[in-house]
Amino acid sequence: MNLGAIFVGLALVILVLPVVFDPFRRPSPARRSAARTPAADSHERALLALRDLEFDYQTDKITEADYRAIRAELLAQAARAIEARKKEEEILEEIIRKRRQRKKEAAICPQCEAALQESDRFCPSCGHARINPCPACGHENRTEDRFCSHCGQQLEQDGNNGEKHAH
Amino acid sequence: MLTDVGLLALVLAFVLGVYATLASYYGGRTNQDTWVESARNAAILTFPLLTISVFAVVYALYALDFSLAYVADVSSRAMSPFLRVTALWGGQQGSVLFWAWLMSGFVMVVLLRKWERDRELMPYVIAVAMLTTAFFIGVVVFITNPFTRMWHFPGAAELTMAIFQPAGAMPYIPEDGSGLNPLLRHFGMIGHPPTTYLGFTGFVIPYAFAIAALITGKSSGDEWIRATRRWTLVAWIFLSIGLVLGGRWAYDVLGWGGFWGWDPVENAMLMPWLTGTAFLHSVMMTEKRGMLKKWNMVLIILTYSLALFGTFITRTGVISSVHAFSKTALGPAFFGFIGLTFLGSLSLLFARWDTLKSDHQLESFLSREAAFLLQNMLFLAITFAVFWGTVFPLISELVTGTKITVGPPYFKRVTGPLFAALVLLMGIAPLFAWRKQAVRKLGKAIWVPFAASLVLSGVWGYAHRMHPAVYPALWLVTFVVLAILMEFWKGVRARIRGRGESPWVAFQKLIGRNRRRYGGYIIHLGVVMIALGFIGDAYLKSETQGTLQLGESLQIGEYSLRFDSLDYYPGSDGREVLEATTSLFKNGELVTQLNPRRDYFVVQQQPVTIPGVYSTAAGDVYALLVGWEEIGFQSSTFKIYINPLIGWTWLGGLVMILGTLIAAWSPSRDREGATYTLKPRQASLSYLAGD
Amino acid sequence: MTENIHLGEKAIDPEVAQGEGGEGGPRSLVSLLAYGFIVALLGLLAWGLIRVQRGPVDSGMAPDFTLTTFDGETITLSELRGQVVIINFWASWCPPCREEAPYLEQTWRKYKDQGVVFIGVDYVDTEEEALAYIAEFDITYYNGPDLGTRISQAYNIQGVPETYYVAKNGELRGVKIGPLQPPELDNKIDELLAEPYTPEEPSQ
Repeated sequence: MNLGAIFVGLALVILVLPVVFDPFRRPSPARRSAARTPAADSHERALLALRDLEFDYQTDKITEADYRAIRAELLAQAARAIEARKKEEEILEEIIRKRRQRKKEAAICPQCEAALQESDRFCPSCGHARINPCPACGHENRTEDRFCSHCGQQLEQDGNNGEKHAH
Repeated sequence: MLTDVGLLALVLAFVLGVYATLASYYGGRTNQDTWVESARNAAILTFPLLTISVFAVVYALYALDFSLAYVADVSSRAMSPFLRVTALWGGQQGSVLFWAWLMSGFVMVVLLRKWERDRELMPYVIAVAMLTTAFFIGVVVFITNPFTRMWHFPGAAELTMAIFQPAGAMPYIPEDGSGLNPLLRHFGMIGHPPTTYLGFTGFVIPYAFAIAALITGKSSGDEWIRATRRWTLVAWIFLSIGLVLGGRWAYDVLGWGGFWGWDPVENAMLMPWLTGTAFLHSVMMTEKRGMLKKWNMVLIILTYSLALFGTFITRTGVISSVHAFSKTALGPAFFGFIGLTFLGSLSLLFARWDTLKSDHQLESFLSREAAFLLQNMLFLAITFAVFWGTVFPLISELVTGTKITVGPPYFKRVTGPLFAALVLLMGIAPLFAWRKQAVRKLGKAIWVPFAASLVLSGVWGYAHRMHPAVYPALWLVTFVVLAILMEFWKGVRARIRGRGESPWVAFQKLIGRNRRRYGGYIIHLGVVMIALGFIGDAYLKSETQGTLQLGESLQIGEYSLRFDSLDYYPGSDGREVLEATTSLFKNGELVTQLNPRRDYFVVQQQPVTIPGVYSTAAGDVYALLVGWEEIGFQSSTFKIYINPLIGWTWLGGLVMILGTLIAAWSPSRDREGATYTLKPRQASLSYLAGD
Repeated sequence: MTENIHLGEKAIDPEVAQGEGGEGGPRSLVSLLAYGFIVALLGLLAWGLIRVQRGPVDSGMAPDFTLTTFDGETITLSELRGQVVIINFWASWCPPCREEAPYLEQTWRKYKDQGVVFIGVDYVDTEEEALAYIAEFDITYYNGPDLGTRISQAYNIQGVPETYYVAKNGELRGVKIGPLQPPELDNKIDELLAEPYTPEEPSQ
């Protein structure tokens, strides 16, 4: 194994690692799943079956009576599928709405009701602390936690909850 | 230095493979996309890294770098550059690397496509696919490494094999290599292993999706089938081509006039093809009617498992066969992986069994659904019969102590009728409608091809004075062809009547709008052609043998072969060639010159028989040089086979490829304006009252 | 950490009747059989792997045997010391065997008066078809059925055709897997004939 090969090998590693770890550096936002739902599947299946039915009828494989009967059934299935998809839309909308609501609620200071960012550790308006660092290990707990969630150390309650900060 | 870089790239690929497996699984379990993205990137990078390794090995083979043990094993100065490159898959180390490379290629292409729609499945698809890929790369790195070199300890009687220089040993670089086994130095070498491997490795994709569906519990939907439909078709056609090429190669080089011997390794390839074909059809049922879900899962798990099983018995020699890879320490590693795959897949399947309930029931035995079900059962029955025959020698040896070999008679007797039933089904099933076929309509549709085929096959058989036993087989072939052609005709006619198109336009549009269906019918036509070749092989062959002096002729049927001369000369590749020049006459007229010969590879002491073949649509005249006078070259012994209809087998393979291209090229169903959208009148349901 | 918003269990499948219970896996007998089959298969493969470590017997003393030919004669290998013996395993249903049959017979006729014995061992075959095969190729050397596959097991053959070379002193000098083609057999016999032989204890 000569030096040149080792050099090239290292170069490969240096090329590869950033690509592999890139996703950790820029987290992607929550996305609505584009996955197909059973209702969408059912809808499409109904349409395909209708197409096949037409074909079978035109190539003279089924009787008129069967054709009509099955066609009615498939159209009903398609109708049900469309209804179900509407309902799914509604449910998804509801979920998204609730989530936005929760996010909104989380971003108001309980003390002075100023608007906060998710990432704020202290309220910029009144200084109310949203975090409670553990005296033993330093882990940032929430103000209402009584024990450190990282090391179990009992936490001091500053008694500041709900009161204006005395400065 | 290139080989060193190749080794490093290989090791790095292994690390990435393991990382991708673990990261994707973790990301899937904790619902964290960042880990899955990272795993995806790692998986994609595996392919370029393996390409570096493969390039390093190929270059070493080409440039005759004999410091590598593998190069000294399969390459030699006498081999042409072309053959040296194909030697990549000429031995165990190279072929496992080649396999891993192809698999990572498939995975890369799948992952590069948009996978937004299959977001929930993706983590586990990556995990399963990369687990397999990492396993194969691991086998290359740790067990059969092509970058192993040869070293010599002073005073030692044998060489030591190691990747890195052991202390106190000197590098050993031979003057020349042994070269590929002469039987492998043939055009078939460029075609058969790559296509076969592509077929085997391609099936990891639908398998990974199926397992992902089971893990995530989304197995009741057909999302996983939709995503992999085209991949399944690609893997299947490659496997089919691999089978046909393997047969062609055997025909050209092994010199016994046949192309399928029911050898365990051949069977190992056939079984995943059988279940894979059943799977290909069966998924249509799930897509259209939400039925046969359990069958689909079982079939894809079987296909993949049989592919692994096949490669296991081929490479370890557990079941003995004509295909001999040199046995290495692969056995235990493969065994462990196979055990994990079989048991893991089975337990997952059972855990999610109730998600695989069918959405609909079978309404009538006279329906396309019933035909699909029957098809599944037939394919599975054949697979089981072949499997039984393949492992029986092993079982018998374990149980009774004597190894009972199962020969071709068993396979032909058991699978023959089942295959015939399948071919018949292939002809009849398109005539069935979905859900419920009206009996009278079916009768109306069938009687024309039925009667016509009886007449045609009768005339055909009589005209060639064939044995009565062949007539049913001829009828079957004719019937199926006519039934398929009728489907084309009916479709065209419906378009002409319904839309007023001209016949040619109707024909084009018919196929263009229904590519899966008509592509499939074309594939079926190809299959019937192959069946025709098999019929010729089974019933219509004739052979003769005789010793001829110069100028004498050997007679067989309408043909006679005249021995003109025998020449001896050194050939390419370190072989000595003994070639006979003969003239072939048909009914007294000179048709062509044939040159059957015997090549002798001096270094390996391996003789190879190469036939002289005259091919027509009616069949092949296949001449072999089997004996000669050592001195004087005055007389020689020839063997002649007449192989009727064998050309149809190769032609059928080409037709299958054409059909697959048409079927695979269908537009993605998700795009807007895809051809299946109904006319507005039918889609707007609120206006359908009273229809 | 990113999250996916999806319906999960709230998805409605209009085709499936809602509120149906699951079966909880296939009936236990089926799953038991399936697992049993897989485990049995794995066991078989493991055993096969271990067995494969033993290769074909191709050195040391040739395993002795007595064969009763189709003509009713008996022939014992150890009584053929001093002659070169070619043992060929074949079967009538084996295509590559047919390929080498003419060459075998041809070579036999060439060497029969030079102290060489050919023995054909018919493996897992029926007498009728074996005799037809012998008649077709006009084979004149000793041929007999391997009853109970004892001889094939003793030589641990992997398949047919296989040809074993036995030197004058009874030692195995190698095996040919697959059909013989000229001039392989002639060369080998010449080599073995050239070996000196003294009728005493064979060395090693």
